[in-house]
This record gives sequence, C-alpha cells and structure tokens, in this order.
Amino acid sequence: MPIPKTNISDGEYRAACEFLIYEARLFDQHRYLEWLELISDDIHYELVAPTVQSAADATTAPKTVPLFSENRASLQTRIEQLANPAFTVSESPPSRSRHFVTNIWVERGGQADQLAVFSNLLVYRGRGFDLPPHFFPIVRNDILNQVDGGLQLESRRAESDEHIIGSRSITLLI
Amino acid sequence: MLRTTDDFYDWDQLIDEQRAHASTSIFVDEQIYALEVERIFNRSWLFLGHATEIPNPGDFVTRRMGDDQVILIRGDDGKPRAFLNQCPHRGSLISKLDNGNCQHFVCSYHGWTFNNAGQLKTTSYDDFYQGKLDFSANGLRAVAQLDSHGELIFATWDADAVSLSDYLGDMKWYLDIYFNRTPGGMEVLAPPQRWIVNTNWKLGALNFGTDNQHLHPTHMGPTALGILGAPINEVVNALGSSYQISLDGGHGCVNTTLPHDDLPYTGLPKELIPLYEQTLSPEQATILRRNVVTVGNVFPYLAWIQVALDTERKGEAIAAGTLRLWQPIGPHQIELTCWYLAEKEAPEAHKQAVLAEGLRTFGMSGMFEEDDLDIWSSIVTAGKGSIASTSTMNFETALNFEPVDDFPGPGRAYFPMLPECEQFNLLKHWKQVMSRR
Repeated sequence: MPIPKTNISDGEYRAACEFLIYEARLFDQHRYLEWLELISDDIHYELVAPTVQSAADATTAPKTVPLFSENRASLQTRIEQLANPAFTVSESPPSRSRHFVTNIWVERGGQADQLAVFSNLLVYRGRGFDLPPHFFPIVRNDILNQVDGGLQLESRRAESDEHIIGSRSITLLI
Repeated sequence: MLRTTDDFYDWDQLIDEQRAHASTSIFVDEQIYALEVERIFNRSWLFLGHATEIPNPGDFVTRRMGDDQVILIRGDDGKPRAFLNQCPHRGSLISKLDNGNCQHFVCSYHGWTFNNAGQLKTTSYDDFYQGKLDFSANGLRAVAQLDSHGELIFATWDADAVSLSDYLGDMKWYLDIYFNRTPGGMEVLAPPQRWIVNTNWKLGALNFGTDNQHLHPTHMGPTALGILGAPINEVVNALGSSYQISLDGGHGCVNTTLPHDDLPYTGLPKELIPLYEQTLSPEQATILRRNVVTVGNVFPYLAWIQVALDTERKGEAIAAGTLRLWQPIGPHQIELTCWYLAEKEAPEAHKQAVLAEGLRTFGMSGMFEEDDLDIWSSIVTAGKGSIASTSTMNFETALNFEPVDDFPGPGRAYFPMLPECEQFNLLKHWKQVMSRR
C-alpha cells in the first residue's frame, strides 16, 4: 500500500523545512527576539508530557501533564528574561543548546493557507556544572500560516516522550 | 517492623544550635540519607495525593513513600487506600502505570490477583496450596495508617504514629487558607509534573519553610520583568510588614500580607469571596484577603506556594502556584512532583489562568523555579567535595530574633520575616527526629 498523499508541492515542503531549520538556528544562537517575528499574534504554544496509562483500558481518557502553556504575551515575557543575563540565574551564562529537527512531514492544514507540519525534535541542553547534560526527546505538531513574505507559526503542540523529565528545568524554547 | 540502624553521628555537631550552623554533610551524605529514610520517611505522615486525582471507585495513581513504591486507590466502597506496589508472592511491581482505573490488579508474573481493596482473590493456582495459604495474610501490604485533611491524602508506615490531625497540628490552620477555603474544596487541574533535579530534598524544604532572604538576589529578574500581580511597592510593603510562622512538628510558612485592605483578594475570583468568608475564620480570611505571596513546608517534604501573578503583564492578577513534594531519590536527587489546583467553584476561565500562570512561574518551565533549582543543584555539586562537605551552612541571623505576640494566627511568629528563624527551627526538628532511635 502506498503512503498517504499529502497534496503538498515541493516548494511548500521546502518552505516548511526551511522554517523549522531556521527557527532552530535562532534558538541555538539565542536570537529569541528575532523568533518573535516568526510567530502569529494569537499563537498557542504548548508542551505536554504523557502519563503512563494502560493501553487496554479504553475507558480511561488520556491524561497529559502540561509543561508550557503560552500565548504571545507570555512568550514575550519569557524571551525578555532569556535575552537579559541580569534577569536570569539559570541562563546566565546561557546553556548550550542544540535543536536537532528530523522526520518532517507536511500536510495541508485546516485552512487552505495553512500547513500542518509534524517533526521530531531532540534538544541537547548542557549547563556547565550540572552534569550530565540532557537530551529532550520531543514530537511537535505545528500549524504554519502562509502569509505575505513566508511562513508564520500559528500554533505548536509539542509532546515530550519522557513522562518524568530527566532534567531540572526547561529554560529554552522548543 | 521498621528497620533500625545504630548510628554514630554527633547530632549536636551536625546541627549546632549555639552557633546556628548546620553541617553541609547532611545534604550530601549517603548514610545520613539512609537514616532519613528510616527515621523520617518511614515514620512521618507523607502526602500521597489529592482526593480529586482519584474521584471514582477503582481510580488509582502510583506514588512513592520514602524509597518505596506505593499505589493510592479508591475502593469500590469509596474509601482511599494505599498499598505497597509489590506483589506479596514474588515481589514484582503490581502496577507499572502512573494512573488508571481497575477492579482488580493481576500480577503479570504468576497471576496473583487482588481487588481494589488490596485483598488476594486468587493465586491462579489455588488448588496447589491445598487450602493451606492464608489469603487474608497475603493481600497487598497496606500502609499502617491513611487519613485525609480536607482533600489532602496522607499515609504513614508507622502504626504508632500520632493521628494525622495531631501530626499537622497548627499547620492545618494555614493549609486551610490555601487548600480548604471553599465548601467544595479544590481540584487538581492536571496530573502532577514530575522531573528530576540533582539536589537534596531538604534544600527545597528549607527554601519553602521558609527562606526569605533569597527573594531579592535569586528572583530579581522575573520580579523586575513585572510579572508579579501586585504593584512592586506594595509587595515590598508586604515583605516589610509580614511574619514568618514556625510551628511544632517542623512545619513553617510565610503569609506575605499587605498592611491594608486596598487590594482585597488579589488574584482571586470575586465570585468566590463570599465562599472564602463563609468557610474560613475571620482571622484566616484576613490573611487570604491581604495575601500577595505565601509559601510553606509541611515536614518533611510537602510544600506550597501561591503568588499573585501577571505573566502576560496586562494588569490582571491571578493568584496561582503549586503544591509539591521534594520526593527524594537518594541524597543527591529529587523527583520534584508538582500539582496545580483551583477551587472547584471557580469559573473555568479562572482555572485555566491559574494553571497557565502556575506553569509559567513554578514548575519545570517556571521562570522563578528554574533559578532556585539551578542554585540548589549547585549546592549539592559543591557540597559533595570532601573538603566542602566538612563546611557548615550559616543560619546565624536566626539567633537574634525571638517570637513576637502580635500575630493573630497559631504558632511562633517572627518579625520581620527575613531572618533564618523558621529554617533553623526546621533543622532543629530534623535533628530531633533523626536522633530518635
């Protein structure tokens, strides 16, 4: 059986990949204020963790644990903190981070000018004294708007693969 | 029967009451941690969960008590019970899940089957025992005592422990201001966050019970960003006019309250004010009405924080925070477990705002939390050194203040709230419990 058709042009696929790769570069270079220019005004940005539940028990609704629940205003606040070493103990000096983006799958979004983009993400975070460094395994479900001049992040629902997160904090964006 | 170990520690040297110093070794030493498990965690009343995590018969969550794995489950009779998460037959985990609902637990190794009251129903090979197996003695091992204060469920392995009510003592008066303040009570807004921090559990307990000198140096950043929900001059005003509360049993808290009623019930929904005033005593309601920040720690390791917050900086305060456990995983690591709660009667939009503000400030991605955790991790990193572990931590500001008598609530009140009085009282209680054979 063939894989599902996505009805996405080569140009659209390439644009979505470039968006995610460029965004990852901004994160790893701590260029958060520039990232703010890539997101929509009514962005919904969340990260959840799973809980371990029975696969057999269909009566139990999936329960997830929220880790981030952000809108543009709260992201702006977080970024002002990250961008100013005087406003943060845990990111001063900044962590090393490396966002590895893979398995990018693009489909038509709910609206004609939207792309639904699925990607795997592995984020290295190293913080000097606190060894060992941590790798966050994450899957992301994004909606990107096609707007004049390119793509814009409309929403991101990311899910951690860890149910107990093996690191003392997530100070970076994912 | 609880395991006991003879020890050779000079407790008066580890916690030096004359100098108000504590040995760094108590935060890093493996043997001291092993004794803590025996003498603190296996004897204290430990928080297991909130009643709204298991609302229906058969609902369960898996938790820890000290270094043991336990299951908290609501039986078909509606009663919560807690059991060791270990099959009495051959020792495997009975449940490998975080949460769920079940009538029976069936051990996946040999099929021993228990109902949700922990009773052994079948071994799957009952005939082979030829009637000699005492089913009533082979159920899941229950905790020695389980009880609730409001919807906060606690248990202990110590059959001789005082009642939960006596254990919490005067702390109940303060817990009720934050977790038992409407007729319906609180509800959890999500399963708890759980994450691993390379620190010692007592550093969390001391910080929340209560370290008030760290607020400016550690948390200047988020404060300067303007994410507190009360004007900064009012917060400073409140910090300068509030008391720290030290309670028998090693419990402690701070209610950072405004000296006036100009910002009543900051961050709390107007609809609930009549419910607060009908549920709480007038003295408790006054503390809630004037509160802008509160933290507390129930010995050994249950803590809370509630702060008037405004992370979106739109001029609308939301009183939010967490209830949490400094769950130790050995001397150098904790599994921080963090619940977000709101009043059942609160409007849905308020509940969502409480959750969002809580996540953004106190939790795995919290703008305040991450700075604390960075520092507490560094204390263990440094303290593990052979020279560093022989150093002492200085609480000398505790020596210069005595309790005052003009605070309306129970306990010993210290003024101002900044000296290290309650923190050192917590360590004195720790010494008392640890040196008890």
